[in-house]
Amino acid sequence: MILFRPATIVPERFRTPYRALRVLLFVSFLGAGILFAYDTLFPSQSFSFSFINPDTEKNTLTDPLAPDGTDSLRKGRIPAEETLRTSAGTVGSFSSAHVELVLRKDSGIPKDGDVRITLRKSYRSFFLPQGDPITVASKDRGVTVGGVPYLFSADTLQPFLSDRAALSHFPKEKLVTANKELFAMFPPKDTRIGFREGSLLSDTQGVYSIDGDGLAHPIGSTQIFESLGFHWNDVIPVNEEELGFQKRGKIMLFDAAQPDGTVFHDTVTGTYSVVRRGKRLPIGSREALDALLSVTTPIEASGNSLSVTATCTLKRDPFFSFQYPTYSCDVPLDALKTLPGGSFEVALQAKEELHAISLQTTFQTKPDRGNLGLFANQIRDRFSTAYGRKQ
Amino acid sequence: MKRNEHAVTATDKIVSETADTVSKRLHDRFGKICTTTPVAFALLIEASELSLFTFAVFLTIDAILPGIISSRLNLASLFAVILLLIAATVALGRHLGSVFPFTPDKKSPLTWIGISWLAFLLTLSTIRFPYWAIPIIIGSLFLAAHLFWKILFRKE
Repeated sequence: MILFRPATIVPERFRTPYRALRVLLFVSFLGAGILFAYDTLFPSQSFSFSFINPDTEKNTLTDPLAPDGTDSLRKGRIPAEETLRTSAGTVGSFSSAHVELVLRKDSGIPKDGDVRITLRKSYRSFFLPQGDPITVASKDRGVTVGGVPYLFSADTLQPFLSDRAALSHFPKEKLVTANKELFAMFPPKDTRIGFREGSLLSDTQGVYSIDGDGLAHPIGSTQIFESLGFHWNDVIPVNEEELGFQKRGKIMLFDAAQPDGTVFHDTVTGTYSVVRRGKRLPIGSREALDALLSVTTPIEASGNSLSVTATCTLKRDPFFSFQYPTYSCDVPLDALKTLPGGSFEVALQAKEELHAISLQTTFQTKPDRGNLGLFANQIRDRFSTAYGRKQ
Repeated sequence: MKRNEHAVTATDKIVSETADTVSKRLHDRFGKICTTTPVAFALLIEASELSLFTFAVFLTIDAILPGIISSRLNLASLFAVILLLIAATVALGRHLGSVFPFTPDKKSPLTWIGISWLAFLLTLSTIRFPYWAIPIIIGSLFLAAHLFWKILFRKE
């Protein structure tokens, strides 16, 4: 080991430049170590969307949508007074966000303050537009004939894939036992029914979330699972046949939306809502709510997430505007810090038509004592998860 | 105590002699042709050592608090880079006619630090396993290590 022993293999006359290079090497390692430690203690996360390549996998902001939910803005043409919405799935607690918009040369050139950026924080599906409230409970029933569970819906009987699939729709006490004479009145269909939308299944490989189309989406990591607000006690261990029944969907990462069937509990108003076909439907019926709560645990969200915003207006950044007009602003996120959920909705509204090249948002953590304490708490939690008593 | 002092002095002497010999040989062979190569070689050795030390620190931290490093940095990629760095160092060393043969010394404190470190990592990694599985895991690991040792050093 020659680490702390200057190498004598270097010829005498090159010792001086060698010593200088050696110092440079040590300083580089030390600098990289300090930068890494800083990034670990006070992390930042960057998200971007390229309007030139809207289909590239490198886009980390979700598809920019117009208020009507269409993805008409993904080419970067943002009409005047139109609002572009996109979102970023973060993990951690951030102090501020830096937003940067790069425009094409043929774009309208806005004056400072003409483009407004608004940020909201919650779970991604909690931002879905509100639909008509559910006022009537479903008339579907679960029956067991000869030990096999069936769904009785609209005068038809359909067998469930398994007992576990049936229990994802109805709690055990709601499965009514019937005799085989029921088959004479309602001949059962051949097609089987899988797991309820919004169910969480697990096998030896990982956890999967079932969406409204019956697709099983693998969840990327335990951190992603928790960041999306899911509950471990809702996870149903299944066998190969049960999982194989559901076709495989895309992997869910931090920016994933909660699937159909997910129930949200607004802790401010005490109300519940369920995600269904791109909308969030308030649950107005006690019976419907009880039926859902008997098979799933709601995600705790705050109604304030819809009204509390952090805003800034873009200003031209002369330093970066040599090639393309570049605008940026910084948004303090203190107002959103305590709101649950890791998804930030970024909304952009301009007074005149814009033609954008890219949009970038960087979430930053301020190096202060509060954030250092937060990191210490995370370390403590991690330590207790790894070495604490099993629960 | 005396034995340790004696061992350290002997190691120092060997290192010093090796370095002098290498220096002389390099100077004789390449001093006039490519004078900067020995400098690059010396720096590469130090960069490899620093990288290995950094990797060991990262691995230890990640073993104590799983995910704290690996969620930010791909340790496998880092290890691949270090292997490439070592390969480059060895290749340059061979080119210069300089080799550092791997001769583990049981008396060296470094060997015992390494063994203690491995034992520490092994203990941490088996913490949440059922008691009956721990001897199987440790046994399999030692068996694999023994096979690798035989393959790498051609020992019967």
